[in-house]
Amino acid sequence: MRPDFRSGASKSMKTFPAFRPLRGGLVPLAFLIAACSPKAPEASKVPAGPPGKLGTAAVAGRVILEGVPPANTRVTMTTDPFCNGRHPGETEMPEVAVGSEGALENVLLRVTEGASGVYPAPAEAKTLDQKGCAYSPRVLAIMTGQPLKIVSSDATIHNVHAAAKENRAFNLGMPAPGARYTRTFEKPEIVPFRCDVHPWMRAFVAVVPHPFFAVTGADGRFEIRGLPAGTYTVEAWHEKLPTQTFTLTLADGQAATRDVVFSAVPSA
Amino acid sequence: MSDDGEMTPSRPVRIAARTVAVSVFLLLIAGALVTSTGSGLAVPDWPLSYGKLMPPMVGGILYEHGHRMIAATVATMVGLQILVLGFRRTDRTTFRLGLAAFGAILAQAVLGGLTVLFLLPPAISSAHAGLAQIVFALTATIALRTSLFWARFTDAAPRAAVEHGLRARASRLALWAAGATYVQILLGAIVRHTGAGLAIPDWPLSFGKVVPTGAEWAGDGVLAHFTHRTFAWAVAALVVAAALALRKLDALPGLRRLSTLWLVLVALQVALGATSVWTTKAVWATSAHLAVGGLLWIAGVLAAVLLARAAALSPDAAVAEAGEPQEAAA
Repeated sequence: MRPDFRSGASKSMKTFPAFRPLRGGLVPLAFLIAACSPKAPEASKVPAGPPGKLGTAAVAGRVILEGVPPANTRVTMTTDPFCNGRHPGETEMPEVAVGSEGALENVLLRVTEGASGVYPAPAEAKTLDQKGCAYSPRVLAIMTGQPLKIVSSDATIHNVHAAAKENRAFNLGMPAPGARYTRTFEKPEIVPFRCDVHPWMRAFVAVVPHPFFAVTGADGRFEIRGLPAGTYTVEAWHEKLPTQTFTLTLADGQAATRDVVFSAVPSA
Repeated sequence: MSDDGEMTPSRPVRIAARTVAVSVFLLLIAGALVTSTGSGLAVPDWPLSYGKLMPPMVGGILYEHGHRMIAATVATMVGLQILVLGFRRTDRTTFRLGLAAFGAILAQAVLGGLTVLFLLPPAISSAHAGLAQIVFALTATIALRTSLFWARFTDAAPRAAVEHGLRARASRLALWAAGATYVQILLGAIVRHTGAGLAIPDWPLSFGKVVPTGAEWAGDGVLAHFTHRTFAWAVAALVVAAALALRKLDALPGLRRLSTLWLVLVALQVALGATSVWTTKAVWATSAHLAVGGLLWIAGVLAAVLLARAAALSPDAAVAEAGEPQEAAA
């Protein structure tokens, strides 16, 4: 037997006529709340088109920052005892992480022109961890359709807010260590990630439609392999510094070297 | 008791109404802290928080879940206020305002939930901010209408020697000032929820000029930010004009004090707007800017309500009601 919400409401409201105007609002309100529940993620779509080619050429190099690096944000993590225990006092955020001899970490290098065709996404997932109240790694690149595994190693609560513009944005709760989600992105873009519980936590996940990308490590080095012969434009992107590009032509089997130099002028 | 059943409310009614209005103001401040600290999505689900009634209150959860808890308490208080107003036989208008406040705060809760589930779309977040001020206005008006001051004002208004033209002018200006303040609050909400608070980084100039030029307009949020800061001067001028018009009606009790308060609030609000820019959106500055904006709006609403009351109780109105021509009454 189906419950009759309306008749129940009228009975309770008969005692006080002034409540009558409220009756009509309750059922639509319940439907509205139900309609707003987050939907399941869309199934992965394979883009149509000729298959992309792989080759034997490569480009490698080093990214360096010249000049005095811009000051990074400093934060205190006193709002969460767990985070504060791991980072007591003021902590510098690794927005511009410069190593020895100006080696610049967390620079994304990706081919923006010259690569054509559809490349299959690897089935192997890449992992974005939340560790010590920071994302690890801070900059990560995946292919369109490649699974991104989001995990938390922290014994505190996090939320994972992916502020995607081209793909579907999401906000996931990670209430306990060991929590994990897997998501895919179907369109190329650099998706900013943030934790709104701990607003200093930032990460950037670059979604690229081909396998020709790399992210610099602490030594500032990168290598993009498997390129077919051809002319390419490569973009070097950093979260704070103005984007650089360079163009090069590669022959089959050629291993080219290109260093990228950022000047220490913070972006607005 | 007036013709619509109005009488001096009992102490419990007065205390309840005042407590509810103050609580709504505190709820506004709690909401301001959520946006000012960037904690709007610190809790990804709604109506529960991480599937619980009480998640760990760390980081941004303290602000977001704290706001939800205060909102639930205040919504309950607004609901209970209806019972108090109903059972204590308050006048019909006040009771209806109580119902409207309860309906509005329920709608406000739904908007709050929607904006979380849809990841803070500016339209819903701005509507949430705008409706909050409507709830504040309704509850503040109830507090006014159930106060001893309202009874005193009602007694004094018919005998006050107030020129009809001056009162009508003050009334028009108060309505315009309150309306403009509300529009400004909505513009502020758009600036806040589109992240345009620092789209123009200097104040009082904009990019070092009176008006941004050329490519500066292409910057994200520049148009919204500039509209908000420019319209602020129009609002300030209207509030000053209305407040000065109120001062000429000092035969009516309370209006002079309200006028002074209104002038202080508008000066403070302009200063807080500037401070928000100068401190690159310090949490205390942006939250205070929102709170004082609310008080500025309420001052306008209360002025308009009092002047409407004075007009309804004036000898002019009595004569007009009796069918005499206005000229004869004047």
